[in-house]
Amino acid sequence: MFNCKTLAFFIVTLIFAAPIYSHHGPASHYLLDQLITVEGVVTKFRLINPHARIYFDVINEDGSVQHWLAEGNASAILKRRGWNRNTLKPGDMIKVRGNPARDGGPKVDWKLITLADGTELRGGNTVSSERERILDDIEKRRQNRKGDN
Amino acid sequence: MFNNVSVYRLSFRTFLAGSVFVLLAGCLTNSAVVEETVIEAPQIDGVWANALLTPDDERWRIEDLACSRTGCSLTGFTYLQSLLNDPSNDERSVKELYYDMREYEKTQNVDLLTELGLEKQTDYKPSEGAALDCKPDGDSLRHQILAPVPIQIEQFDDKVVFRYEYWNAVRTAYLDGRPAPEGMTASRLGHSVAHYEGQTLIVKTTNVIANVTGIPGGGAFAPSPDTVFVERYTHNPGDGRLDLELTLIDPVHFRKPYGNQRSYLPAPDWELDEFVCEAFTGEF
Repeated sequence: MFNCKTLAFFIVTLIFAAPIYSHHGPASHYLLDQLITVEGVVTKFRLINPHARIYFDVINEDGSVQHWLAEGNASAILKRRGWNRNTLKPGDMIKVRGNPARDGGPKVDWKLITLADGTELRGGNTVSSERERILDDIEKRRQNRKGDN
Repeated sequence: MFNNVSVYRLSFRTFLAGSVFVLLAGCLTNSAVVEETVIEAPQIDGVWANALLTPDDERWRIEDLACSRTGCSLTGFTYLQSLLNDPSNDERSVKELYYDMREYEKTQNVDLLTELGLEKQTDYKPSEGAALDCKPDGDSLRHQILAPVPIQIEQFDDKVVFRYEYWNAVRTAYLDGRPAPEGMTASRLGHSVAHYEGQTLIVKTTNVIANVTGIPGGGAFAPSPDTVFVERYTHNPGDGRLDLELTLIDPVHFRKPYGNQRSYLPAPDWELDEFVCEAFTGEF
């Protein structure tokens, strides 16, 4: 669960991930070989193309508020996967895990959004983030089909 | 007054005329049936979804799902199918087989790309993304066709219209084989003609602006302006799947046709949404 103290921090974690290119070019704006986790409060959610955007505020250790932006997949795809303009609302507390901006700015290409009640939302744009999960899901499907046969 | 003979003659004439009519009608009917058989086209009218949009649909094959995010080259797709169908790979994970396929695609590039193609592949800079600034002009026809967004196909007697949610684009493929208008300036979607072969719709497109397009195994470059794009949409009436093979014929950069693969399933309850694009202005 989130509280004000956890909101006072944002955690940056670096892990290895393969750099991959997709047409919308997250590689040109985000460091695909690094991963950060940022916690904050949603101020605006835009379900649009080419990438959905979550605007959120992060309270830094010194108490100052920093405006952040998380970018995800295209609305044309997210809407077909059950997202709508109310999936995230102003005031929602979120934990965003994703790739940091190349320019060091307060932006993240999200891979996973965790809501205050623990609900996890995917819908990230970065190809590598979706691929691993998709392949894991496909493996389950393949095993189930083998079982059925 | 009619005697028996004249009545008989009249009846015979009536019978003869009727027989001729029936025979002619039969011939005409048969001709119509034969003609109908010749022009029979796959019924692919409607909205179509790809595996990225409806991954829970049980009709998707494992290879459709594996290639759903970025698409696969035709070579890679076929290779992945062969790996999945090989019983000796039953204990290997889909993930392993998928990465094997991607490595295989890279090895195939040596045979696929000309020296110029290989050179351009390494020259590629990933910052060349047209979609981020919401300007479709720089986006490639290949990406327009393969983008994992719903499409709609409309079949008419003289044309097939492709509507894409992606960029709200509309392409018309003429069935009369007409050449591109004289002096036509190359455009992003080019000039398309089409014809049917059994359950396959074949679309040939020329006069396409050379926009940067992706290639298997990574990288991208602008194909030659003379590139011919050939789409083959094959309908499988059994499970309703529509398989697309998109081939780029560009001898300047490719030693052999470069094929791409994507499959679709019907989405009869869907409508295309307007593609609202909003470029990021830098404001938070």
